[in-house]
Amino acid sequence: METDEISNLLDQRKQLRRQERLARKEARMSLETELLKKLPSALVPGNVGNFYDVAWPFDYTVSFDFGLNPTWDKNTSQTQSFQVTQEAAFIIGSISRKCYSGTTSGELAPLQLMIRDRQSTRQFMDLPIPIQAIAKKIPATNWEVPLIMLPNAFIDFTLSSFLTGSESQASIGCSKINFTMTGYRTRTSDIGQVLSTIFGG
Amino acid sequence: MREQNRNRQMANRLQRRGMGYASSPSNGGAVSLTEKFQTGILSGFQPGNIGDINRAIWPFAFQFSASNILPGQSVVSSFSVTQEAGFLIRQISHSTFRLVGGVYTYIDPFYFDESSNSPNGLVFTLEDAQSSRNFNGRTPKDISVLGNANFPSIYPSTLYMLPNQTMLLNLSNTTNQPNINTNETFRTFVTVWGYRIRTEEAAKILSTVTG
Repeated sequence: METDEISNLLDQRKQLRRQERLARKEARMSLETELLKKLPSALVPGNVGNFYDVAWPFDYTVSFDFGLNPTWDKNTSQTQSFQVTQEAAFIIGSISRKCYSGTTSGELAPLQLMIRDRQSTRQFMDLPIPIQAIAKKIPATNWEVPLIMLPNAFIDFTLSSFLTGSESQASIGCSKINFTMTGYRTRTSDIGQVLSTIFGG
Repeated sequence: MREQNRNRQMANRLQRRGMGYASSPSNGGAVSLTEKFQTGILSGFQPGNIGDINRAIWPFAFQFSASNILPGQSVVSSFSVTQEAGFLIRQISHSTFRLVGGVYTYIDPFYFDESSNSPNGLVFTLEDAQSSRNFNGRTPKDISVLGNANFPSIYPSTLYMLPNQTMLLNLSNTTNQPNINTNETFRTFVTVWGYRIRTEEAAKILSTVTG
């Protein structure tokens, strides 16, 4: 082996030793390392660690209101949305519903919901599903696989009635309905990978 | 060679201790998305929409088409998996409405007298349209057994459906029979939850599904 090559390797090893010494020192001091050692991985707190490593629980809520004593017919439709804020991405884990009345203006209403990712226009169901197909409060409806939404992304919720033609239905009570998406926020600098999937590139 | 191996071992050791990617000055501490979900609170919560187009998975719901079912009537409703990707069924729930005097009212499973308030007499069988495989042993089951959004019916194992495959739901309203005799009209929405996945080797799976 050439002398230069040997000296390169020795230099490299010196650097690795320095890195290892630093790593040991950090490991002794870091709260993260200590928690990682002591806790099962699912119980390690998400808000301890590097800026890009941390994750914290979060939820977004959209609210619909058709007024007091609404009348449902084929023209009933309203769209609400939420936008993931710039700071971090949002991983959707579950969705739940809250109706403000137990009558046909809320809990028992003939309403249906469509959820759509505004960026890719991808729908998350082939047909609108009745609001009752979304779990109320807890236990929430788990999305079978978590879905990451990028910072600034929009999710649109469209609520409409499944009545057709001349069908019309009066109801009594408050028509306020909330849908809440629950999950985690996490920062990422590696957004290219997500985009390519959503847009199919 | 021995020197190289030794250096490699040291680098691996650092990597194993988790010092390999995090806090590296060259990337400002940034962690790749894949690495982020390997340890810590996000392990087991990995989003499906990261990575190669043929490996990505995403949540989805299909719904059987719905129409009013009168007493004594039977209807067949269906859904077809769209061409883009396959569908893995995880759970099913139903949302049924009673139609009285032109007013649809959701039949609330959380009503205090759930048994008598259920859509008793509305029965179903599930069938795969391609193989005509029946999932209920030819005996219709009450729609209530599909559960509701809070407590859906969860399949013991995931069921794979190919792109373009069709699932049939045979619904019968038997409320006009003497032992029930309530003569009710229903509209039922059966929602199937799962996730979508693209596959390059669909032909291999087709042979399994059809026999």
